[in-house]
Amino acid sequence: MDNNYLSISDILVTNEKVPCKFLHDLPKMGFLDPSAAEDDLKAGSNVEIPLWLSESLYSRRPPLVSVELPKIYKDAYREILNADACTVDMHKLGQYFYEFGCYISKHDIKGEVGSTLINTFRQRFRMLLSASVSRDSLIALQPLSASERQRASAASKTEQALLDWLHSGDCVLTTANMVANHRKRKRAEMEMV
Amino acid sequence: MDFNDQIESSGDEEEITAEAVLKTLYNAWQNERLSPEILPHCNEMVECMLGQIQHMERNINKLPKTDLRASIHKMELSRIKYIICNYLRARLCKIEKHCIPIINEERQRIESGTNYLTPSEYKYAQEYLLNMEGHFKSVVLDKVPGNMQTFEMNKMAIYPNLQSHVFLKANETVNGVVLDLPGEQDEEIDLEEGSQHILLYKPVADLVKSGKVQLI
Amino acid sequence: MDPYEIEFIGENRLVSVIPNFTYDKIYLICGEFGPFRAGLPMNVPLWLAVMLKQKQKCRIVPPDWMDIDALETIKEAEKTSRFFTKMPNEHYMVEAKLILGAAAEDIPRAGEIKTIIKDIWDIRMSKLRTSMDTLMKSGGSYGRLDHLTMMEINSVKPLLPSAMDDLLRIQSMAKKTIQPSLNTSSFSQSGSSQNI
Repeated sequence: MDNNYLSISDILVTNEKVPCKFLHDLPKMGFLDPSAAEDDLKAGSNVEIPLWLSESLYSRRPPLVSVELPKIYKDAYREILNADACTVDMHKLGQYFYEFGCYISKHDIKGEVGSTLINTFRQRFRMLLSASVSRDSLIALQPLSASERQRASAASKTEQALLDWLHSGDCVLTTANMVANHRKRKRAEMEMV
Repeated sequence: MDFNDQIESSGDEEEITAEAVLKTLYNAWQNERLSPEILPHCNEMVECMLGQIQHMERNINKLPKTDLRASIHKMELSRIKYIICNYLRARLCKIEKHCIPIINEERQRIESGTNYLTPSEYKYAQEYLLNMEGHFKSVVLDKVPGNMQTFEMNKMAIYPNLQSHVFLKANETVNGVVLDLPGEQDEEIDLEEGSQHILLYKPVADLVKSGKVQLI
Repeated sequence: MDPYEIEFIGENRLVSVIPNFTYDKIYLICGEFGPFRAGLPMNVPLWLAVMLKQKQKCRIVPPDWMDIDALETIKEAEKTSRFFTKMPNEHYMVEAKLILGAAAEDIPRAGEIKTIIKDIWDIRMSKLRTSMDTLMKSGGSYGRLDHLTMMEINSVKPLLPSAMDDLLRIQSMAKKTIQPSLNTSSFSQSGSSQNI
């Protein structure tokens, strides 16, 4: 989640598309709308455009577009997320759920997206915890968003380094540990389903 | 334990023992490794320790190679060299990563005599920035349309994240540290001597620099 | 940090050894040690103790806390307490690993001691996971962690602090609700501001 100018992940996030409604006729801009037959873009057209573009069109005075919430941030999904965020496959539904959501939340008039983001993040933290000790890392990482995956794999690197240390030398302090972790993971996975 | 205080006290003819210098270096190393931003240098301590090491190495050479003492001293010196190298390397990493803001802030600090970098680190930072600019120019900027060719330093700057969380142990009691939390009321906490916490770096940055807390 | 670096820091702690040789005081940078008298206990840093042991120049005296009864008490306390109990030694794991590794024959009932230390470690690590989850659910911006040792703290890096960083970032972005920016390039500049 770093937002510096050269951050590749931020570039990828801002490349995600958002549904926008154009508020004015824009001559020669018809190419933005794949379904438009004309050269000009008509006021009222609904087009999905990348976030970097929507942000600069929106921040014009007067704004050229109004930005709508992508579906993962709308009521239906928010209800699921607030009920049990751990059941959602973010990899499928919103790879950049939090980062994109942070940009998007200012277009949410009701101001509920922000609290959903926070609540979701808090709930899903335990998925990171269990992914970090999981030995089936592929399965545990699967439902995580891009940044969650990063966090989880950094955590399992730490875990691995610690196990290596405990394993090293003449005094091996790990065998029971591994079993314990394995059991813990099984339990965590059971809780998750 | 202000670094500057110690610099002065080390000026008073070896008031400080090698053991104390080593302890300071250990703390400085640990803090430097664990803090998001670059900390005030403790070059005097490093120089002092390098002097000790040289002195010790000369003495070791006088001992027979198989002497037990020689191998003990060598082991200790390798340990200390590791600390020093790792400390300096941690600083260089930050200088490279946060080059632009570090140079900007350092310019002001030099004016007020509170510089964080040693003269050679400052020189390194400036050369690093020049190299970076040169590289960007020759690889990309010289080949794009004229109106896009400027090297926009402020956009390229990567700032240390002072809003990151760190673990610390209080070396002495500090009352009323204000954690300013977004959208919530500011919370005040007390750091009792010996207690350990995880909290935001920014409100405790000065405590780290003054040695009142130790990052762990 | 790497666990080996924590070990390195822990190696500076003093432990008691009984040398089997006689020698004058040795003046190290980290302090003076000795004189070494064959058969008489003395304190040296752990790294030196291990080195002497490997050269078969000493026996390591078991630290007070490396005792079955003492450890059983600690284990029980750790099991029943909601919080982390104070360990007898802030580098207990490092000390146990190095001493039991290099000098198991010097420690009575070394095998049992190893097992019980491992148990204590496991109890604490699982408590640590639970408390991290609680911390994130209950606020996620501040936590007090007395009595956790450096090796234990290190085991939750970078996960816990970075999750708290992420949460803070989301909170501060999300709290900035509708805030129309006035210039067209605000978007590209947002990347350079410090506190996002």
